[in-house]
Amino acid sequence: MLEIKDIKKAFDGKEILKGISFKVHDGEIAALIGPSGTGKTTLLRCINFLERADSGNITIDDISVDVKQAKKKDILEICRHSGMVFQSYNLFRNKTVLENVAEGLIVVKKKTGKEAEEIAKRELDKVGMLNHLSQYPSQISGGQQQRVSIARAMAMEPSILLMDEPTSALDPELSKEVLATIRKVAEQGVPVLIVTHEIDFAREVSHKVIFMENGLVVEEGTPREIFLEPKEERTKQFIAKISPADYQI
Amino acid sequence: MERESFHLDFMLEILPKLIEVLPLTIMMAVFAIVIGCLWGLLLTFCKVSKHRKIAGLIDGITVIVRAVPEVVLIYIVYFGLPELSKDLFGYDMGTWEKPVFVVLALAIELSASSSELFRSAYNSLDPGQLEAAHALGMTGTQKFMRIIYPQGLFVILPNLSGLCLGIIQATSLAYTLGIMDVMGKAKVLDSNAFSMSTFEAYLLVALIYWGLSFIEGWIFKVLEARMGRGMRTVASGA
Repeated sequence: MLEIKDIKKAFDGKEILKGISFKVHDGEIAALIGPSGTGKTTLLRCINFLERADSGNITIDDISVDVKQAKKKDILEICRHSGMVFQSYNLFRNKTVLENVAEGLIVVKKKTGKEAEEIAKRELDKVGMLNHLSQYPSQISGGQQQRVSIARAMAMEPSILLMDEPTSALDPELSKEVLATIRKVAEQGVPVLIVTHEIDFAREVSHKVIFMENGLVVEEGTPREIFLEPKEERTKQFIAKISPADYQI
Repeated sequence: MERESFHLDFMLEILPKLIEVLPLTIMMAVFAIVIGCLWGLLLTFCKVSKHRKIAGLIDGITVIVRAVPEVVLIYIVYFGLPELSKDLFGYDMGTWEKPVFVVLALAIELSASSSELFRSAYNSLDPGQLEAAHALGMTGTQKFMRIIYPQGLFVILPNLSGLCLGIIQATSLAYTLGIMDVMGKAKVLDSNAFSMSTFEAYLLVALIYWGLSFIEGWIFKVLEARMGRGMRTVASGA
């Protein structure tokens, strides 16, 4: 479970996030959508302190942190209970596929090499990368790299998985394979907060859609509510712009 | 006096005596390299720190140190450091062996040049991988040991190898303090033989240093092969 309350963040006096609050319940896939530059990625990065929000509260399961007073220890706790999948995969390039997934287990979770390898293999199997264990990131495709990065995040058994436009660096074909992987992850019941421009994906897989603009949540609801019966004028405009004319759910 | 022939016998005669003092040369080089790299790393931390004043100060010191020739640095450390220590801390360095000062001087030299190298390696790091490490919940030290150090070191290995070779060669300056290292010993042996075979004596010294540089080069080759895993192939990223 993830709950954020009144997250605010400004860069050089310019307010990017103007007080964002929402909840992602257990087993829920929440898609964060909205025009570019509205702070979706910044919000995601504020949750695990890649950026430090100016104020607000972040709760992951039983860990609750006031951003203003967060100390190193709190930040580590938040990171250890959340997983992140990046737009550009960010795999460790000097480590093999297997080592990439085992790394966090060994270094952070203090598992033995053998335990870590077992878990890593199990997670890599789920994303269909068991045949590439000893390859390096530079030797596999972008889609494969992204699947490994999903396994890397999932191996840590996060209480919330944060995904920052996981398919936007991929061509449509590779995008498909990664989306299929995310669906599989979602079926395991891990709550996911995903920033995405894949409207079809958001519509089909997510339980909740959060529409954000100019640093504020404009509207949130089920995919049906947001895509077919949006209440806010701004949401209607956005949906109209991104949807094909014959859009149907 | 006219040279009659190449004095191979003289070379063979002094070889064991030079080998006897070789450990001193190696010790000086190894300690200078290890200490110099550690100090260089510390300086780099200062240089990339958010405290602009500290970074600027260290930058300035680096520039000054790098401008000083090694032999001058050795003299400054040897003659200056004990005075400074006495005046500032009341500590007498009189009992310290001469090679210690050579090591310190060369370590200072190496720390200045290697800190620039480390900085360039730090800047070349992919911030995305550090963010991934952060997201996994790694501490600063874990990030350094697992990501920054192995990837950064690989990038600078060829240049670092050159710097270390320079330090090995610079240990030969120890003779200027009257230290009996390979160079100093050769000088004395040559004098004792009435400088009849000066060329041979120094040729032998050159050969010994060539051997050292060969070993150094080999060590770095092995390191490069070991650390280069996954680093060399060009990204095929889709």
